[in-house]
Amino acid sequence: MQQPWRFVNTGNGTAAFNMALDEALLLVHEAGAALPTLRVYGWCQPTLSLGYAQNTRQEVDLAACQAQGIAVVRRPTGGRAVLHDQEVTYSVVMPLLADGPSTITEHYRRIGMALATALQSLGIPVCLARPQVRTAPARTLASPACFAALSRYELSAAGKKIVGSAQKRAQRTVLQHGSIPFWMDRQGLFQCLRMPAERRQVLVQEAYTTMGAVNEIAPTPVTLPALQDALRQGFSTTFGVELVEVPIAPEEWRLAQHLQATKYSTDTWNLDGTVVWRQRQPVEKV
Amino acid sequence: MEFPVNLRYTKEHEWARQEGNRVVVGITDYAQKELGDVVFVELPDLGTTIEAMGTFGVVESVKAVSDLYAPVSGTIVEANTILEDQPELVNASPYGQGWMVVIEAANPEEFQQLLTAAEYQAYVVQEKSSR
Repeated sequence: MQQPWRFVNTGNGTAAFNMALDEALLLVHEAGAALPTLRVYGWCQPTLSLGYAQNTRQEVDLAACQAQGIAVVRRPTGGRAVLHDQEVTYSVVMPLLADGPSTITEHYRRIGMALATALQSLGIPVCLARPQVRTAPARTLASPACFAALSRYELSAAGKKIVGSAQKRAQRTVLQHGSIPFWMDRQGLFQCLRMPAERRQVLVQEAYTTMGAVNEIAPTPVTLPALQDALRQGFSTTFGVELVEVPIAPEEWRLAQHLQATKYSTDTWNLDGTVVWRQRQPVEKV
Repeated sequence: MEFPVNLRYTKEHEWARQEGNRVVVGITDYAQKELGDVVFVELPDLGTTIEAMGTFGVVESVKAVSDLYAPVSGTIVEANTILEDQPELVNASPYGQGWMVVIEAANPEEFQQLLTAAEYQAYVVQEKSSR
């Protein structure tokens, strides 16, 4: 057995808090002051999260989100838009792998195996997407939704993507977090995103064949505690570690609160986005 | 895989080329292969001061955001903003058109402490052999 990992269930949080705590866990681990962590959590209100490089003002219909009570937050990780609602969100903060290549793909593979073990234990016939050489479609042509495209070592069941994940890599630490929906609100997701009505209609239709959710596929309904427990067991088995319940440290709370206030609650981070977007294209105010 | 001998390297897979008191920086051929298709590059504003091995930007490949680390400390005097529109140049030409920033070095001795091509190649071989 290796060094144990920490397991924390932080329950439902706000969009800003959830992202802030994930980044705080990454930063404190990077500083060498924390165990690897599997965190599970949920959301106080439906939330659209965006990948680091997505241009919020261009890609999101902020008025539609506001009208539907959907919060919007930009993640520290890559990837595309996810509508978090009825789901379990997992986040893993772990060191670079010591027993193999510590590449993006290898972390996806290992974590994918843990997620697969968890979901298979609940009777869901998942498989890992096989690696394939491909050329990424131009960002402007690709669907802005995370669940629309299956990347290497992401999970599918019945041919549909059922876990959407994204990574942030620092010098010594990897943060990977992802959404495991119980149900998939395809219409709601695409209503949050700016696009011509015809394209939205096409993408929503496609979503019924490409996007899945746990309780659309599971033989018997899966509950929140059952999925949380399965994740804990799946990571323990796959990584050969014990997951012990250790509370979030005061230092981590303080850093999370700081990041929540100064970064993830601000329009500068969530709406105005990266330096690149700000410099390159003045966009209409919504 | 290329390891140009006129460059120095970091273990975080950046390359550095000295031009007088300035250092041109990018990521290595090995790094771009490991990242896969680069879809986004974020570089610092001109005039930004950075510490050696401090982060100076991020690169996003499919599904992951990775920090970029400065080989030397100093001030950012040029940034390759073409990468904002053409991030794929990092894959196509990591040592050429895919360069990222130019740093006015604060401490030229730091450059000499970076890995040589042979040392970096050995490091990469070791990293790959752990698979």
